Parts: sequence; C-alpha cells; structure tokens
Amino acid sequence: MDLQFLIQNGVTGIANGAVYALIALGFTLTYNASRVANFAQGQFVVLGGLIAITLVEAGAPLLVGAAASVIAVSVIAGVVYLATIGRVPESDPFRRIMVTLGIALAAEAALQIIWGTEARRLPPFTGDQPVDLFGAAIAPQALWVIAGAIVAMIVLNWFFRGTRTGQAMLAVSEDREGAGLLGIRVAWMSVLAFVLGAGLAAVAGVMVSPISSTVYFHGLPLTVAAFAAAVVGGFGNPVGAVVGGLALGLLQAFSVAWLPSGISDAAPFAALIAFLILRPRGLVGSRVLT
Amino acid sequence: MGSRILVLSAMLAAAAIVVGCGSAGGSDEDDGGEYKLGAILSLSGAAADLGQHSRDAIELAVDQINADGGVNDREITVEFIDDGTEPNRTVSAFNDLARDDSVLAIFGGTLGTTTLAMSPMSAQQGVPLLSPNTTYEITRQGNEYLFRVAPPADAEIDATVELANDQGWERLALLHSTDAYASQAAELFADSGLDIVGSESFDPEDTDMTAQLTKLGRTDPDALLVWDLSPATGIAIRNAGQLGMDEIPILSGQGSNNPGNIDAAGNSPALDNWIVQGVVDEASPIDRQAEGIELLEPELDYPVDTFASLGYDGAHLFAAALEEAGSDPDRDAVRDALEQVDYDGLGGEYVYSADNHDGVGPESVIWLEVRDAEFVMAQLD
Amino acid sequence: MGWWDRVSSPSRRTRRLPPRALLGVAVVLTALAIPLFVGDRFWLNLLTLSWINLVAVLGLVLLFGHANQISFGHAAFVGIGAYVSGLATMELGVSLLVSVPLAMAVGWVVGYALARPVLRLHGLALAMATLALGELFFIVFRELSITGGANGLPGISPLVFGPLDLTAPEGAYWGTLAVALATAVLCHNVIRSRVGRCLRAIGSAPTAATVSGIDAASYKAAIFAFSTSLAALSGALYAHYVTFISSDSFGLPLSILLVIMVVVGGVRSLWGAAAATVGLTILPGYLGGYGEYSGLIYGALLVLVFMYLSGGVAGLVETVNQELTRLSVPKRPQRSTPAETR
Repeated sequence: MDLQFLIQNGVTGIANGAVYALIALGFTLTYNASRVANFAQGQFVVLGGLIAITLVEAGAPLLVGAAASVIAVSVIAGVVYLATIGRVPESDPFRRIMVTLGIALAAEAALQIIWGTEARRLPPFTGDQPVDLFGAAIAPQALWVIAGAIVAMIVLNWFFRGTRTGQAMLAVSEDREGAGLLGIRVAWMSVLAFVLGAGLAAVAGVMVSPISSTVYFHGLPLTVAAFAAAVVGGFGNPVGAVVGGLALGLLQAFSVAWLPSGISDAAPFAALIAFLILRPRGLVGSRVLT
Repeated sequence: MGSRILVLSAMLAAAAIVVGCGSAGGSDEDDGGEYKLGAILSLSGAAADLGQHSRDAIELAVDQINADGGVNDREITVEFIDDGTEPNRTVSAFNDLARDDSVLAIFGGTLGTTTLAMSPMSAQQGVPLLSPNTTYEITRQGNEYLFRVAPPADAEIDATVELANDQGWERLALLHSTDAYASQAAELFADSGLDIVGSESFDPEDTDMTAQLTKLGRTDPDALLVWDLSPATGIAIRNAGQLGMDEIPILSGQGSNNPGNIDAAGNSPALDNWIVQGVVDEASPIDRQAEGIELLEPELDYPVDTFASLGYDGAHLFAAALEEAGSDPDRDAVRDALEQVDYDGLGGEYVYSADNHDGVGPESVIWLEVRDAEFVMAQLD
Repeated sequence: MGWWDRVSSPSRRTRRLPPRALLGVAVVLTALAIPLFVGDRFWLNLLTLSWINLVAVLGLVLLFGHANQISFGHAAFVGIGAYVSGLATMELGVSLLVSVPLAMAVGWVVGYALARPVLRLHGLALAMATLALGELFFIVFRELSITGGANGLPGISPLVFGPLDLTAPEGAYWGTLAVALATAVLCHNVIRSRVGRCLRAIGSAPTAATVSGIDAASYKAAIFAFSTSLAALSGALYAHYVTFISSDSFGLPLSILLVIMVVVGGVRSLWGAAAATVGLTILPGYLGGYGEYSGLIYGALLVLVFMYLSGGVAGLVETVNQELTRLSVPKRPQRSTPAETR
C-alpha cells in the first residue's frame, strides 16, 4: 500500500465527498428549518444540472447558465412547496415527507419527459486536463466542486450569523415554538429553508454535471447519499453534513480500493447502520439524533 | 371537507377516464386486414433510453414497409406498451397484448429480465416473441416461440477474444457495471480463456470510477475492457484518461454503443483508444445495412445505435415471417415461418432454424471507434 | 304494521350504511366471484399480483400502523422469501408445501435477529436504518452467484402445492386470494387481541407501556418478525407465480411502494390497505399505455392523496360514511306517515 495509491484514493474520495457534502448540506438546511426530510433533494440536483445544460446549449455563457439555473430551481422549489408541502400541517411531519416522496416520483418522470433519456453533460469550467496533486491525478472540475463546497459553507455561515433572516432561520431550527412566540414567521422560514436547500442542490447539480453527466434517474441515489452523509456526519448539523459527505466519499473510494469488487457498494450502508446504532450523533454531533 | 369531495371526484373522474382509455388492448374484433405486432418496451424506467430508440426505429421501419405496399397487400400496425423496466409490468403488458387475437407476435422486452418474465407465458399461450436481448439464457428456456434479435452474449465475448488474440493482448483488465448485461459478460469473460488480471465493478448509477481504475491500473494490463449498458462507460473512459491510462486500448461491448458515452468522455485522450462493438458506421455502412441507414439516419436525432437497429430488424423479421406464412396466418404459422427466415439486416445476417433461435452470431459483430465525436468503423491492423 | 313501518318510523332518523361486517362479506364474495365473470387473463393477473402484494402489506400495517415501527427495507424480506422458496424447489427439489413454509420461517428468523438491534431506533433514524438494511440485502442478492444476480433465476417451479395445481389463471387467483384472506383474518385477530392493544400502546406511548409492564422490545421484535415472515410469504408466492425472479425486483423502489400502500390505505386499516394495494398494483399496468407520462401521473396522484386524504382510503370511507349519515338526518320534525318519511 504505497503513498501514491493512498493519495489517489484520498483525492478521489474527497472530490466525490464534496459532491455529497453540498447535497447533504442543502438537505440538512431544509430539514432543520422546516422539519421536512426532502425525498426529492436528488431530483433538484438533476434539475439544476439539466436547466444549466439547456441554457448553455442554447448559447448562454457557462456562468450565466449556471446562475440562472440555480435561481430557476429555487423558484420552482418555492412554488412546489407552497402548492403542496406547505399545505400539509406541520403537526404531521410524516405526511409532509410522504408528499416529498410523491414529488420525487413525479419529478423524475417529468425530467424524463422534458429532457429525454440521454445523458448530458455541462462543459467543465476549466477543461479536462488533470491536475497533478502530490503524484495523484485530479480533475480540475473536482477542485471546483471542493471550492464550491467551501464557498457554500462560508456563505451560509455569513447568512446565518450576519443576516436577520438567517438568524431567524437559525432560531426556528433551534426552537420552533420559541421563535414563533418571538414574532418570527415560522411558516415563511420553512418555505425559505426549502428554497435554500433546493438552491444548494442546484449548485451541486451544476458543479457535478461535468464530472458525472446528468441523467433523469440520478435523483434517488443522490437523495439516499445525502441521507447517509447527514447521518454519518451528524444529522441536523450543517458542519456534520459536510463532514459526513467527505467521510462518505472517502469511505467509498477506499472500500473500492480494499474490498473485493461488488461488495464495496455495501460499505456506505453498513456505515450508516453502524452509526445509527452505535453512534447516532454522528461524527460531529447532532441535536436530532443522540 | 369540500376539498376532499373535490379530490375524490377528481380521482373518480380520472379513474373513469383511465378505465375508458387505458385498456387499449381489449379484445378487438377484426381490424380490417391488418397485421398487428405488439411491442413491450422500456419506455420509462432504467432502460428508457434503449426502449425509446427501439420504438423509434420500429415505427420508421413499419411506416416504410407499409409505404412500399405492406406485406401480402396488408399493412402492419404496432401497439406499444411501456413496462417501465419492471418484470411484473411486462407480465401485465404481455397479457394485455396476448388477449387480443389479432396480435400475431410481440417484440420485447428491452432487457433480458423483462423477456425472461414473459417467456413462460409466451410458451404456454403460443405467442411468438422477438426478443432484442443478448442475455444468454433467453433462448435456453425451451420456449419454441422465442426468437432472439441480437447477438447472444457469448458472441460479444467470442469476438473480443478473437480480437485480443489477433492483436496479441495477453493481460486484460475488466471494469464492468453490476447490471445484468455486464455481469453476465463478466462471468463469460472469466470462462473465456482470456487472462483477466483484474476485475472491478461499479454501480450503473456511479459517477466516478477512479478508484476502480486506480486498482486496475496497477495490474499493468495490455488492454482494458469496460462493459456496461449505461452512459457510465464514457465516465470510465474519462477517468482512465485522467489517470494516465491513455496508451492502452479500451474495449467495450454493444451496450456502450451510445453517443452519451462520447459526450461523457469529453476530450479525454483515452477516447482515441476506445473500440466498441457496434452495429454500424453510418458514414460507410456495409451492403446489408445500406437500406436501413438510409431510412433511419435522417429521421433519428441520434446516431443509429444497437437498440434502434434491433427495432428495425425486429420489424423486418416480422414482415419476413408474414410473407413466408401467407395472407391469414395465426400465431403458430408466424412462429413456423420465423424458423424459415433468412434475412440480412442492420444487425447481422439472421438465420433461424428449429435448433437455432439465436439468429445472429459473432461474425456479425462490428468494431467501431470514435473520430470527430462520431462512431466510425475501427481501423484495426 | 310491518317491516316497512318499523324501518321508516320516525325513530330511525339516521340512515346508516349496512353494518360494516355485511359490507365486508359482500366485498369478499365479489372478490371470490370475479374469475367467474372475468375470464380476461390481463385482469386476473393484475388482481393476483395485488393479492400477493397484499400479504406483505398487511404485515406492514401491523408493524407500522399499529406498533408505529416504520420500515423502508421490507423488500429485502420479500426477496428472501422469493429466493429461499425458489431455490429450495429448484436446487433441493422439494415441493412448495415445504419450500413456502421454509421461506416464511427464514423470513421470521432473519427478521427477529435484525429486529433486536434495529428497533432500538425510532422515527427518522429507524427509517434510515431499515432503508440501509434493505439496500444491503439488495447488494447481497445481486452479488451471490446462487441467486443469478441481476440476470435472475428463470424456470422456478410453478404454483403447485402438492396435488393442488394453481397454475391456471383462475387457480392462481383463488389461491393467492385465499392466502391474502387468511392473512387478513390473522392480522385482524391480532389487532383485536390483547397483543394488538399492547402494540398500539408501544406505538403511541412507549414509556407508559414499559411502565405498565409490557416488554416493548420483545413485542416489537415479534411483530417485526411477523411482518417479515409475511413479506417472505409474499415473495415466495411471487416467485412461483411469475416463475422468474431477479435481484432488480427487490430493492428500494419496492420497499417504498409497500410503505406507500400502507399509508394510502390509511396506515392502520386492513381494508384500506387492501383497497390501496389493489389500486396501486393495477394502476401502473394501466398507465403503461401512457408511456413516459405514467410516472408523472402516478407521482402526481400520490401527492394529491397524501395532501388531501390524510386518513388514506380508510379515512375517506369514514368521511363519506359520516357525510351520508349527516345528510340523512332530517332537518325538521317528521309527520309519521310512511309515505312522507324518507
């Protein structure tokens, strides 16, 4: 087991992990402020990628297409929330989650109808030439994804600490009733959280498309990965989401490296169960699962 | 309360409409001298891309056959049903078509598992199946009514073995997906006599195979085999290029003959070394393919791939059987006629007999490579 | 005076639907009679698949609806049942009379073994743990060579129980319906029994239940095992009915579908679950004619149902019942002549 092998797999793991981190982050934010575990998170990722691809193929510059896609997905998410989940009383969280399940199924079909079945790909931001990192090859796009995850964390941190809306959302996450008593409009925070989560998903979708292509059926596996990352890192904890995502990515890369082929798929699920039973608070700590 | 009654009424109305329109395959009476072909395809679900390509080609082929006067002066109509790539829906779809006596044969399913789900009923009820699958087992279930419209899995493997031996590639590494098509290929490769120095798998929905390729790269292979049915092959090629594995040849089966793979591979240098089993080089089709390409190429907005060609050939095999069987055949007559068919199509030279329902063998395999983002005939020295 | 007067006298102001039991019997008789009127294989097949699904769903109603233990991994047990029974008949040559009970036993044992550690979790954590378990089994099914993996196992012995040949469409229909009915009766009895009350106590107020002396952990494990053995039975029936199984069929989508059937039915209701199962099994068969739009319609319908029918089918029936009852109450005092009372 030499260093180069370790580094290559480590780099691969972190690059993939950053994708999971972004998606898990959006998922966690939505859950925290609205108590909705969004089963359709993965579909928003795919939608983000597909809209951006359509705009770019129609001639828009990459950055414009990407930004427009994130905005579009956020708006769509808001509309969907107001039309569906928002109408189910908060006292019935299970039913709200089931609604997101229905949305996920419908969304996947809609994605297939609108964009067809072929895999498409957004052009990489700075090309495909691999970068040499301590002897390991890493795609430049992967570096963008990692940067994106870091930037997302910084922006979110500023949002939650430095803006009134963000602070309000934080308050709602910590204590719904208390926040409501203080005059914070909890219901609107839920909408905003959902929109924010979807926006982050779209960002992930745009950044990841050059690496993995975008196809309508990528949604469910991504949602499951987001769940797993959130749990492993610490459910409900944004830092946990990122840590969990990275951990999951590394786990996958190294289990492929060390385990016989085919079994490596099982590693993330085994880890998930192990954490749930043995260390439910995850790597970083969770207020939801202790 | 009001909203509940409203929703209930809406659902009842929807149910009524669905009942009225959905049972499209009801026992029809005589449809005035047409031959009916049923088609059970994956139009949604995991294999939707493949099923839709087959559907497009069947429609075009049948339209052309009818435009040329039909068969025995009668037109062919096709009824498509989507099985969503789920075997129990395939079973329902089969029953839906089988109860209509005017359906003389069924093309489908898109994946081997869906075909295997309906094969017992096809044998029991005597409904000929034209199945576009490479899955080895479909013609080994004792179903006399099932005819394969694709090279069987071992044909792809045999063709690969031949190529490897010709080119002197001794050590081969295998990267395959866990889908049925690729898993079967992996099993066959293991028994093929080739020296498989490393074998790794990935999930069809995986988005990165760098870890697997890193492991395989260390075995120092002469050539890399990448087998899968989804657009992940392209990702694997790109990953291989990024890891510096761009000097060795990369081989794939017909399942990878998909432009999505060219797209996914991007500008990877590894793409230049990729040879894939395919159906046709659109720019220079061989003789038996000329007519098919002439029809399909302008109409499809994707390059003619395996699944389109299987649809095309399936439609023509049906027509050929009808011609052989006479003007008012029943299903048994169509079945018997199929065994007599000798048809040179897009995908190969189809010859069936009482002991051979496979139709096409390894000689029909064509190797393609990519130049200027198109599939062209591979130049192998 | 006669029956008419008794029926229409002012004291019978409210008109009720026939007693539940009568309605239930009528439905069952109709179900039994269907093959006599409908010879169409297409419908018989869809309904047979519904009965097969229902066996698994009923177990989940008890587990989730009453004991409040969610499982997003039950497809694994359906798979276990399918593979155990299928392989036992193919490799060991035993008859279904042996293999099907064997499948149920294996389902029970595996379920019980897993239940102990896993059911210590609740809510979202439990949901995710069962989901992960389901996925692990899916991978096992896919990777073991004995299962045929994704390529599957064709040629499984058909539905023949000893001298009882149920391979004809009518035979399969009645056979599976009989099993579903027996399961329903069994579940109904459990629900009505002390065990059922304990389960509901554990489900809704676990601490109080423990304090009153109920061994919650054992009950939960037992009901989990009960539901998994039913899932295994369902899988076994499926394997011998279609005579072909592949690992693709026993993954997350099936687990999700089973939960959807329970929830759409009304979570706690056996009847609701039956209606939901039949509806959701038949629906995709229909929607096949709509090609790509089938998924969209299906998803949209689910969203509507989850949004507006909070009690599922059972809740809907309750509501309709109440509405009809309310509507039949007269608004003004009646003259008691038979002709005017209605």
